[in-house]
Amino acid sequence: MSDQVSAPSLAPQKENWTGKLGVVLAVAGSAVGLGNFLRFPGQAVNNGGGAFMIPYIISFLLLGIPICWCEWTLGRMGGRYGQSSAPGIYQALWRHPLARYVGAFGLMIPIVIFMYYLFLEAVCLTYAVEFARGTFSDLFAQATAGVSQHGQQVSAVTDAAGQHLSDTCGLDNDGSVFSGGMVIWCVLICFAANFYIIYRGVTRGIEWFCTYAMPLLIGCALIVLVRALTLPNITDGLGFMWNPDWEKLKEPQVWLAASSQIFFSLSVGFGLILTYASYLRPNDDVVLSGLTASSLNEFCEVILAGLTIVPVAFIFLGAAAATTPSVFGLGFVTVPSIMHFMPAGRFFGTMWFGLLTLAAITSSLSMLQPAIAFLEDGFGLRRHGSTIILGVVSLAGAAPVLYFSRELHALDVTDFWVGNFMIFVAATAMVIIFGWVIGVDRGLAEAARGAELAIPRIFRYLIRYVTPAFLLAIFVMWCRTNAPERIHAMKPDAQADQAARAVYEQAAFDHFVREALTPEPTSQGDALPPREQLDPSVVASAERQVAAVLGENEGLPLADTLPEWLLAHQPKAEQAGADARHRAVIARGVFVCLIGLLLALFALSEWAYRHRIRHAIFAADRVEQLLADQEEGDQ
Amino acid sequence: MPHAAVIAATSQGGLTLAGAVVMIVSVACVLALAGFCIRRVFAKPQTPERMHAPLDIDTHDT
Repeated sequence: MSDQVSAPSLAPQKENWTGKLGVVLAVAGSAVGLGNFLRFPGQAVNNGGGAFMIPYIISFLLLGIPICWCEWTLGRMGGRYGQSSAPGIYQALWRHPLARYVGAFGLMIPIVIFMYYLFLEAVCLTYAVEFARGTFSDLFAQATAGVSQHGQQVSAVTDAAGQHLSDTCGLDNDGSVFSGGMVIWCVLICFAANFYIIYRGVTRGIEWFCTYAMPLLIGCALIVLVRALTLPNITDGLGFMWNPDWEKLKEPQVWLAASSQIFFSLSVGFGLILTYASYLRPNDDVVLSGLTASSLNEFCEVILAGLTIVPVAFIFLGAAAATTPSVFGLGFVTVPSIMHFMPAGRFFGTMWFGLLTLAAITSSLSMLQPAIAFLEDGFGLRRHGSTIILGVVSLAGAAPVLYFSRELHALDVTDFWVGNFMIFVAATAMVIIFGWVIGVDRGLAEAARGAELAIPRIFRYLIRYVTPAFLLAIFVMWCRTNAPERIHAMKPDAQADQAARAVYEQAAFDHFVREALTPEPTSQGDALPPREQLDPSVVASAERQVAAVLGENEGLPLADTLPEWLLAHQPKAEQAGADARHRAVIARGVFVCLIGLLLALFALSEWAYRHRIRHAIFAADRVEQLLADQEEGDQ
Repeated sequence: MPHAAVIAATSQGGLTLAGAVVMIVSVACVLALAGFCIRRVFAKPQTPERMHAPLDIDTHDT
């Protein structure tokens, strides 16, 4: 319960949140983003519908809430030492050389995520503007001209939306984002908006913006929700989303998906909340604020997103569109398509993408503040200097992500290593530092200072044992599922061979199936039915023949060993190989750049520690000692 | 997409009883938690402004 003993700040405070609601809205704004509105519905519907909520709620209790409270508490503790960036906070609380290096992860993750998040933010803004201008209405009207049957209309609209997304984001060609389309202007607008707000500071910038943006965002989402729930046949859509498939709970992948969703959507464990919480006063309530921010995040995710996108997609577009596994596909193909069939779709499309833009900006602001705080604390820069330096760095990082837009490959690779892998590492380190290094008793006692709610005693055991074990378990599972493929994807030669071989395999398979289906020489122009619709014996026979022609091993067959009819596919195979090599080179390049950036941040953290952070911590220690002596003298 | 087929089959009759229960319980839990937290945030008086000594005031704002 509330500890009435006031804890003095040990260092000059830079800024404080002006009110509890402000910090709650800022942290909720940080957590509420595209992951809530676009990722959650897709994850739920593809992983058991309503049954997904069981592992989801368990993960919220065992993972989300404990990490959230740890991060809020650590941040406020670090703030007492005048530190607001992860390297400084960890160093102040854990006097070990490793601390500043662990803290560097809390610096790198937000900056790098911002570099690609900016692009997604700009796409949301582009779509909002295009809906408002009627671009989508014209596009879909053109696509469906002369088509009367609903199924064909759905197909025409989703195809048009897919092509529009491809054109907007440059999914077909690298560099096409820079060719003067609207999205590049939106990138610049979003960039300028983010940095203007950050430049204004924590209270006059972030808090001010989130105080208006969050209620507006929730208001817009509520209007969309009311519209969705009043649509005819919405119960069919709700059934599609929420009817539980209990069998799915037996699959480990579903548990992994639920825990990952909680973990990523709450934006905990990687330094954002550390920085925000460092601006709290020493006796501000972290328990209630943390719980409130998390509950607002869940409100947006489960209610505002869970009851709208997928149910509405199902009733207008059918099951296939509503279960698209890609977040990008669901958000930027399915949703615009829905709006074509929905009454007042232009208005709701504008509102939906407008609210997504707001959600994205409130999130991206939180990604910039840790680096700003590091430049100020570690290098003594003032706000304008730190804003300019961070602006240049983040623009330099965002440019390659924008340029290599083909299939969003650079974005995808960056998101994998930083937005997933590193977050697991940083969060695990944070929980271990809280539970084992600082000590769970000291940590929870610190959390209790100024707290209106008591943290239940069970969290002592959860934070010390269950949460780190749970995190490590899902991290290992996640790595086993994804890492081998990602590492293999960075081998240009192997990727090129594999892609070329895949072309030969497909061509040979089609050839042998045609031979089996027709006694006469086959016509190359006739499309074959999908593999699953073929007679299994025909498929098995064709696969045996393919293996005989191409060899059993995975390597690329030599050109002089291939039959003449297969050599006709050589140009296509070479092209596929070249594309795959290109993708692998990008993946490797991104990985090397990320390692380089991490090493650079290690070096900067070390420099900042030696020249400024160490002295600030030392001064805070002296103040603490003086206060302790004074207290002893008073007694 | 086998799961889509499964769900499509189960949702032909709309929202089933199990689906409705899961949805209502989930929504109610989230609403209760969010409502409880927000009520407490508004109920508790704001922390009084901290008294700043001149040396403390360094907002790094311009």
